[in-house]
Amino acid sequence: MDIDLSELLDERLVKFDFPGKTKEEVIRSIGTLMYEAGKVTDIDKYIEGVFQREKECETGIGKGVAIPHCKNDAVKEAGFTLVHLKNYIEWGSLDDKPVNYVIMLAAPNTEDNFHLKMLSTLAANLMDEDFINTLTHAKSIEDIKTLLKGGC
Amino acid sequence: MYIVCVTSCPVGIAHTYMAAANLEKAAKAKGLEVKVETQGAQGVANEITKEDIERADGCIIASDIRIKNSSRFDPVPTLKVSVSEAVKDAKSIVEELMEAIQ
Repeated sequence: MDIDLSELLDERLVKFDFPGKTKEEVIRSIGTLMYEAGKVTDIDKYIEGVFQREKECETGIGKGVAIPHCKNDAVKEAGFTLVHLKNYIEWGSLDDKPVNYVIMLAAPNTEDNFHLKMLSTLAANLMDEDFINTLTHAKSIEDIKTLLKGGC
Repeated sequence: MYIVCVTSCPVGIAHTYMAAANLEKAAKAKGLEVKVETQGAQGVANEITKEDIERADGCIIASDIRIKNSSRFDPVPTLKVSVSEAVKDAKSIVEELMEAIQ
């Protein structure tokens, strides 16, 4: 089955030149974006879940990209952010390098497999070098939409 | 050579599937036949069957948690790694398994 990831793309959650100097600050401000877009009902609980996950295993996957995430009751509907940071920040990455692209995933505590599959398809796509290069160098929402429409 | 893999992680929405994508790619790059079972938030997908296990030359379990039904792999030479290792460098894991079973 081909999955069109652009269907789950929310333009309010795509940012370029996003401010922030520390991982904590960035997670909190991106969590706020999630809250304002209506993906999350309880911002503190959501962020706590994200930090909990970071404690278990940090989520920098290399190439300057991090994918903090959590699945809990504070999430109303599945979503993901594509946030290009203004500065590189320390994160805790598999390649020990700083991060300037944050893809934060929110998954509701339901059996909604369709949207979970979208999030995991996005994650799997991040293992593809061409995909990640195109994504992190995208200059506009249109560029990103074209990439995501490519499916898996 | 036929290898089977299982990936799993605590949340089950990201690392399970990144590890699966990487192991599949790394194994295919080595010319191996491969099947990867994912145990994530969506449940078990692409399940490794009894027939797969009878035919398998080796197994890779990439997980930070106890996987479901792990005893089925008892008859197969199995390499256990963390899910992060498979996200970081699946190629080395596949090579290590190949060396061990050759």
